[in-house]
Order: sequence, then C-alpha cells, then structure tokens
Amino acid sequence: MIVVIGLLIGIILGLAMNFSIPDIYSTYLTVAILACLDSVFGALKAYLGHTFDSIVFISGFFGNALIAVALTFLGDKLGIPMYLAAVIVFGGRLFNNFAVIRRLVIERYFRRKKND
Amino acid sequence: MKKIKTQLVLTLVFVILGFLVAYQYKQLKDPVKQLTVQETEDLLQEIDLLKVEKENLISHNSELQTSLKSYEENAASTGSMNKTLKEQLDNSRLILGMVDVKGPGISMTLTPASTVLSPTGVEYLTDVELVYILNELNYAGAEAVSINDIRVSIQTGIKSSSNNSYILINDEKISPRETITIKAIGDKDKLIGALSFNGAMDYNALAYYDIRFQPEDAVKISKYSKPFSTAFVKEEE
Repeated sequence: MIVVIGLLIGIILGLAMNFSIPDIYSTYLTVAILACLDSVFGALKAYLGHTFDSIVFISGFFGNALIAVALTFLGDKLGIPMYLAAVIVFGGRLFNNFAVIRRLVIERYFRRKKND
Repeated sequence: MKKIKTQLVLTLVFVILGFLVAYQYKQLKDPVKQLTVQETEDLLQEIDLLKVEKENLISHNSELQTSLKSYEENAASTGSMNKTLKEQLDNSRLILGMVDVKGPGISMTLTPASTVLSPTGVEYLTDVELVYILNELNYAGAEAVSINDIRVSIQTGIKSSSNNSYILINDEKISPRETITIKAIGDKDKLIGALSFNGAMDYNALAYYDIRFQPEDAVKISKYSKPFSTAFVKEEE
C-alpha cells in the first residue's frame, strides 16, 4: 500500500515539475532507471520468497543505480558503450526475476487451493 | 517504530523511482522535432536553387570585372599617367585578393589521425591552429594564402563554430574532421623552411594531424569571394 502511494507521489512529481536535465545525461538516467527497476523486482521476488530485507533492498536500489551510472560515465570517457552492458545485464535480470516471481505466485496459488 | 522508519524509506525509494520513470516518459513524449521527408526534400531543393543562384552571380560578377578591366585599359591608353595608375590598381588587386592569382609557393595538407589508431582520442583543429599556421606563413613572406581554396584576404576572420564542428572562413564552412589543404604563394624555400622548423607544426592539436607539404612551381589561388567592406573606414584628410 505504502509502496503504491510512494510511486504515485513520484509520478505526479515527475509529471508536474518543470525542470530539465541536460540531454547529455539522458543515457545515465535511462541506465539508472533500469537499475532501480531491477532492484524493485528483485525486492518483490525476495518478498514473495520471505527473504526480504529492507537494508539489502535500499542499498541495492541506490548502489546498482550509482554503479550503472558510473560505469556508463567511464565507458563514455573511454569510448566504450558501457550502457549496453548495463541494459543487457539489468534487462536479463529483470526477466529472471519475473520468471521466479511467476513461479512463486503460481506455487502460492496452488497451495492455497489445496488447503481449501 | 522501526517498522514505520522502514516504510518511510521504502516510500521515499518509490517516490524516486516514480519520479525517474515519469520524468523520462515526459522527456520522450516531446522529442526534438524531426524533419519529415517532405521538409528535407524541400530544403535540399532550396539548397540546389541557391547553389545555381550563386553560380550565376559569380559568373555575372566575373563578367562585370572583365568589362571594368576593359574600361580601365581604354582609359589607361590615353596617357602614361593613367597607365601608372592602372598598374598600381592591378597591383593592389593582387594583394587584396580581388583576382585569381598564381605563382610559385607551397601546398600543404593536414589530415586528422585516424581514431582507430589513437586509442587515447584525437583532438581536432580549431581556429587557433589555423590562425597560427597563417601567421607562420605570412611571417615567412607568403603573398597570398588560401585554406581549402578559400582566399584569406585582409578582411578575413577565422572562427570555430558549433562546438568546433566546423570552422568558418569568409562565412564558408570547413570541417576539422576532414583533410584541410592550405596553399601559399611566396618564396618556396623560405616557406618550407618556416614549416619544417623543428617543433613548428606541433602546436596544440596539430600534433594529432598528418601534415605534409611540398614546394610547387605554379600554385593557383582563387579570388576573395566576398565584397570588401568600407562602411566605417575613411581616409584622413
């Protein structure tokens, strides 16, 4: 519940506020978003598997984003498109997390059905 | 107590996530205006038209120049005084770059180093390096200089533009990412001597360029393409 409220506040803020980040940083923003999404789905997976720890989640959320941005920045300086690595790794992990979440949800559903 | 704190932090995290996603969405919703195919074609057509117009104007200009010359010759034939004046006029034209000129001199090419071969990155020329070369040539007694066949005249300025994506000379663009050809008329030995002086061609970004120059017996330099401006300068009485 609290999560949904937070998300809504963030979306409203993002749409309403009228400042712009320079175009050159847009790659960094995309990579950061991807890293954050990865952490969020990782957290959902952990929550369903009863291994959720808020410290792990929060450190992962900011840490992943920072590392992704830092690597992209380094890649820019060296002429290597490092953001592709971030996109592939985080994208791949997103799909993995989805697969695990799906399995957990299905398992839960059938267990409940059996109990009924 | 601890639970509330955790929830607050979680909310904050999701506020950030929501903000980032919404911001990115908004950014992509109004992208930079892209030209449609039709607009691009229109622009290309316009460029072609303007090119034709430019050709026409240049030929018209040279016609007028020849007729002017014939008038002058007629006038000069009437007396020796006028003849001297005519000679001086021709001389001034040569120096100012109002006519195509030729003579012995040198031609040099500046080719940027390949980005593949220099992993540390390549620096490109700016106006500063071109002005530097120009000064070296003039100091060595060059009488006429052109850069990419653009005559450098007494009223020419050289300036990098658009974050050095091109360099403007006489309002014409040259690219520092392509080979630049510089020609100069003057004493061949002096010019070559100035250019091959140890360290002379290592100035700033020149170190990243493959620089070649050779003496030539007949360097051709076309005339200055713009009209001279005398809107402010007046002779002192």
